[in-house]
Order: sequence, then C-alpha cells, then structure tokens
Amino acid sequence: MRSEAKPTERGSSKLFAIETHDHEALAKAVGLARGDYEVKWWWKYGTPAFIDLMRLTIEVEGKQLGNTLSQFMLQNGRETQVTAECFPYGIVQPDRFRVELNIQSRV
Amino acid sequence: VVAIEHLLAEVVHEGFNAIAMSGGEPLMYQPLPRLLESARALGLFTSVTTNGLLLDARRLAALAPHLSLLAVSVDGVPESHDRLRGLPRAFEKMHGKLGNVREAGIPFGIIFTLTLNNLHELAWVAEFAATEGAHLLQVHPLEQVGRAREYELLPPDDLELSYAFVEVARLQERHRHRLTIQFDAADRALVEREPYRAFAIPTPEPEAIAGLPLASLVSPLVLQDDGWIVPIQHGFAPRYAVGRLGHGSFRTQAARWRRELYAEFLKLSRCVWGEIRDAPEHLPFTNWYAAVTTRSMHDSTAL
Repeated sequence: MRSEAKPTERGSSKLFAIETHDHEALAKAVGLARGDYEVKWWWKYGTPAFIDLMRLTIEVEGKQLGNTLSQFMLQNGRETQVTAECFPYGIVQPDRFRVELNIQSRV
Repeated sequence: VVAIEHLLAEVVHEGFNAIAMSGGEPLMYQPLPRLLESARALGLFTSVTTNGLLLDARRLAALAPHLSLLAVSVDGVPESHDRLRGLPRAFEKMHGKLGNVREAGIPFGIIFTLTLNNLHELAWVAEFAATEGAHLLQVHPLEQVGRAREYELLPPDDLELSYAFVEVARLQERHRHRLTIQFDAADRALVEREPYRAFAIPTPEPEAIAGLPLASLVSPLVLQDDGWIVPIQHGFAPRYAVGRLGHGSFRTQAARWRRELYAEFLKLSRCVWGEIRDAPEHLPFTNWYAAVTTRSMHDSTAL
C-alpha cells in the first residue's frame, strides 16, 4: 500500500476553474463565500468548537413541574431545540418528577 | 490510568472543561471507559476520535454513558480511505459499525483530514456524514505527525486552505439543515482583529495573573505519549511544556510554568501573530496550530 504513488495534483484543481496565480479571482470567491460561512474560531482535532447537545436531568416537585418546563421551553427558537421527558415518582399520586431535557443546537 | 485520573482532577481545578482522546487508536486503550467515567464525573466534556473499526456494541455500551461526542475519521471516498489507512475494506468495516453508534445513542461527528490533494473528496464525505446522521463534520488540516509522516502525505498550504474555505461554505449551504461543518483553519482577519485568540497579548504583570486558572492563560494542553504536557498541539517544543506526567503535582508544575515560561510562550505567540498579519492578502486562511508549533521547534533549536 505504501508504495503507491501519492497524488501530486492539488485537490482544489479538480474543483475550481481558477488558475493558482489568479489571486483576484480567488479573493472574489472567498469574499462571496464569507457571506455564507464564518470561521468564528478554529479548534483542535477531535474537539468541536461548540457543544451542540446538552442532556440535563433534574428533579422537581409536582407543583413546580409546569413552571419549570415552561422556563426551559422558552429557550426553543431558531437556534435551539428543547425537548423534555417527565417521569413521575409516587404512583398513584405523583409528588415528584424526574425531568430529562435535551437541548440541541440547530446551528 | 491512576496518574491520568489525578491529572484530570488537577486540570479541572485549573479551569479546563474538555478532554479529547485521539490516536493512536483510543479504543485499543483498555482503561478508556474508566478514564472517560472519571472525566465525566469531574464535569468534563469528553470526546474520542477513532478509526471506527472497533465500534462494536459491547465497547459502545461501556463508553456511551461517559461520552459527549464520538468523532470518526473518514479520509475520503472509500478507495482513498482504504489506501490512507493501509487496510483493505477499512471504509466498509468502519461504515458497518456506524449503525452500532446510532443504536447506542452517542452523538457523533465525522473528521475529514484535509491534505494538499484531497479537497475534491470533501463533498462526498459531507454527503456521507449527513446521510449517516452525523451531527458534525470537522475539516481538519493534516498535522505532520503519525500517519502523515509514515505515508508522506502533504499538508494543505495556505492557498489550498483558501479554496477549502470556499468549498466548506458551499457544502455548509447545501447541508444547512442536516449537518454543521467546522473548518479548523484560522481566519487571518479574525486573528489580526482579535490577537488574544492567538495569545498575542502583552505580557501581564505577575500579580495580574496570580489568581487566574491556567486555562484562561493557555488552552488546549496536550498530553503526549512520552508524558510531556505541552501547549496547543502534539509536537510543541518541550521547552514550552507545562509539565510532565509522573513528575510531581500538575498544580506545582503549572505554577512554575506561569512564573517562568508564560512570558516566553506569549513572546512566541506574538511573533507568529506578526507573521500572520504580514502575510499576503490573497491567502486569508492559515493553519495557526501548525505555524505556532513549528515556530516553537525552531526557537527551541536556536537556543
């Protein structure tokens, strides 16, 4: 395997009809791309630059359940999706709830 | 593993909040579940980078409770992946295991190592990642360690990184609702505008940093297989090392680094920042990690 010749051509040369010395055309392409994408930060291999999913488990009293859920659900929006599952303690008459929250980035 | 667990407790005290385990192949490291469990118990975000060949249900069940993100390396289309891995059917074997990851409910991402020669395969990898249900596609410039040296792969130069940025933007637009693509190159404009991101700040008075956690001064740290704990990236000159595993408490070593080497590290970072600022305008992206690591070695050998 290691004796195979490595490719010598730039990967980009198979994608872009820009000569490598055409700095102006490349700058224009980068400028246009900046409208769609921004490097806010750069990060290390294996480490995301953001955390896109949080899992949270809390316990609340029954009378606080509605208010607690409402507060988390207010975080739902264009950038964040919040879902929750509730598990009651104290059947037949639940007095406490375990709430499992998933807070997912939509970005 | 006990020594690493002690180290983890100390780095948490110094403000670090994530641990990323990568190659060799972390899944061959038997105490991995225990280590991840310890890390999670300390509140750390945990990620593991793997070639995907060992992702069987038994291993994943042991890892799942303690793993925040699994990163699977995909080096290109199947033929390229197999060639670079030096293993026939490596892609097919890895692909066959991804179902186990989904069943285990572990969030996962795909890591594509960008070389000078493989940008044209990124679109295929992005489609693969989206189809397989990956949360993240990380496009990471090749580092000249491990396999890269062994296979004589070439890292992307700054010109290729510019083209890669254009391609990443195009693919992010295409996969807008399915996948987040992360491009691990530094934007020169951002670095010039906000030098602190590249640690290019004036050296503060010692009393100004006395109470600050180490993570606010330098991050990330890398624990190398030789025990050195170096700033920024594998291969950073040991002269700048924060400490060494098994050579006393990390907190003591970190305090010494803060006193004796932090100023040197900042001086190095300012030097690299100057080079980035003065680079030609038509090359707006660079591999800052490689630049600062290479400079650390040059400065080191010059002494």
